[in-house]
Amino acid sequence: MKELGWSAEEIDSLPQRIAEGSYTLDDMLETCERAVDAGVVEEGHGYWHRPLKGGDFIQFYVAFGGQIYDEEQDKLVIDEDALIKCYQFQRDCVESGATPESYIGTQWNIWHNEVANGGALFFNAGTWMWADWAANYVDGGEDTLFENLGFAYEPSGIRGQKGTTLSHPLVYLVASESASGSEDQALAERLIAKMQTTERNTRHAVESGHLGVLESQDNYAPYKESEFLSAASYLLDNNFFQPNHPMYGLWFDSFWENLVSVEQGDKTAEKGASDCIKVLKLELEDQLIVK
Amino acid sequence: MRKHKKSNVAYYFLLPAGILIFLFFFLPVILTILISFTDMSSVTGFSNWSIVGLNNYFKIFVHPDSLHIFGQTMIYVSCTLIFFNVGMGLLIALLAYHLPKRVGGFFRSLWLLPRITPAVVYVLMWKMLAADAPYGVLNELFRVPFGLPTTNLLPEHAMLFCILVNGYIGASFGMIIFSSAIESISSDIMTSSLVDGAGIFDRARYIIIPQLRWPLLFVTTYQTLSLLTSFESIMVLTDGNFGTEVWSLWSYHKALNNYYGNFQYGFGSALSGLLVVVGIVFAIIYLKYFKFGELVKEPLIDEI
Repeated sequence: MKELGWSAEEIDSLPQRIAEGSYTLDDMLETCERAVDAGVVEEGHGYWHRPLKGGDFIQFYVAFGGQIYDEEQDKLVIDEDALIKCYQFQRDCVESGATPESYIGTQWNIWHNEVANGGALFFNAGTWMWADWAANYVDGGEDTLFENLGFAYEPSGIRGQKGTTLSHPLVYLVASESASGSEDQALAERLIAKMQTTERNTRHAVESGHLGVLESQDNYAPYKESEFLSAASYLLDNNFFQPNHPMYGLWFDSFWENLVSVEQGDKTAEKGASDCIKVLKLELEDQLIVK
Repeated sequence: MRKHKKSNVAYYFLLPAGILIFLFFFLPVILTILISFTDMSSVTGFSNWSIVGLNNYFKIFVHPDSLHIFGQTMIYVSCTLIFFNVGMGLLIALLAYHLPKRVGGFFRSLWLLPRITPAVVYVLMWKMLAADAPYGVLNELFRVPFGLPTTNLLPEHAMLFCILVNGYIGASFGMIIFSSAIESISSDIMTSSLVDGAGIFDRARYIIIPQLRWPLLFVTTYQTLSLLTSFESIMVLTDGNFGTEVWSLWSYHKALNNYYGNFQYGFGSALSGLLVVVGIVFAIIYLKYFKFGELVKEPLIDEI
């Protein structure tokens, strides 16, 4: 970005601007275009989102104001307007030259190798990839990463809306006696408590680049000492989760398949969105609210 | 002359295999069809499901993706079958027959390699063949030297790659069967036809291939059903993306493969049930076309 002419302040303030919503997804694509035109970035290396199926993509649906889950009614929601905008954004990435057309399906090892070594101007990654890159893909480990890569929220699609990030918490479940026939529930709970201590989780978090799960970790010295984790922890302030609804898997599958079709140009954004909603209506039946 | 009495001993010999086939093939089919009449899924669990009759089948018929997936499946099965499993298999068998034995044997062994390579390794190799430069072999060899733009070839030509990947594996099955069938044609006929003035191509067309009717029937039927129901290489290659979702893969995705744990056993079973029906229809058509009845009819010559 320095080569593009951005001053050090502009670069440093970018995470803040994304968090506030003054730097949006469209701004990002514009930056990519300018970078490609200026020859600073190779064509098709402007914006590398996740190359394969995964929950990360719903961040862009939410970025355009989409809602996924209605807590009161315990039903899944699909917002047609936001969906069209989200799909259109994915297509715009290709049409503006920021992302190659046959990009989805790129293998992980290729993706990691390119992105970790600065091959893409913008990219979607997870905090957990940081440790992987430092260990396996980048000479110089974390220091090189800090020098060349920055991180921030996912920009919003709507100016003024805050950037967000997706978290994917998991829940420990202990089977009840009637379900499992076992009477050791208390033992299982103690085991979980012993596993998920501040010390152990911090060790896992530092080694793998995952953010901690216990609030006590915020004040725990080894966690604070990890430069990356303390720097990234602020992202937890404005995050959201994938809903804990049993039919969410179907929602996501339909969302994903049509996203791929639209990004590759096989369908228009409107057709992709309407096909997605048609399938959702059929498969989710009464568990869906259409906006 | 007394007609030879049919012995019952044969049935006893068939019994062990019969039991296995019943347990591992017929019973699962019956269970699958029974499950397809319910709404069993992760939501209902194994204790809260209810019988919904033909509702799942109705859902399949009104599902927006059904027609497309069925079409893709037909394209995949027919192209792989015609061009590779039967076509290539026959071609290699014929060619290898006309080569010196060691050379023929060598090439036939080469063609076996895709089949004996572990599926994931084999498909991974194809993925790296198709990948974008500088990682992909095809792009590096055929596009970079000519200054052509390079892309990941797989999403662009996904179905073609699926057919190629499966075809290279499938060709070896037909090749082995046709090879041994050609070897077993009486050498008298083979030599005398040449002596009588037939060319190599004429001999292949008028002598060899008609003698292969039984193996052709077997390979075609077996491979059609095999292609209809196999999806593992497609799953590793594209996971059904880019328009390569075939029916069996769709059934697998719906019933057994969901990152968020939503398994639709009833709907997936209905998809499988339809696949069974399609398979049976194909089998009947083939048996009629190849005149299976004639092939296994009792010979008209009386036994002495």
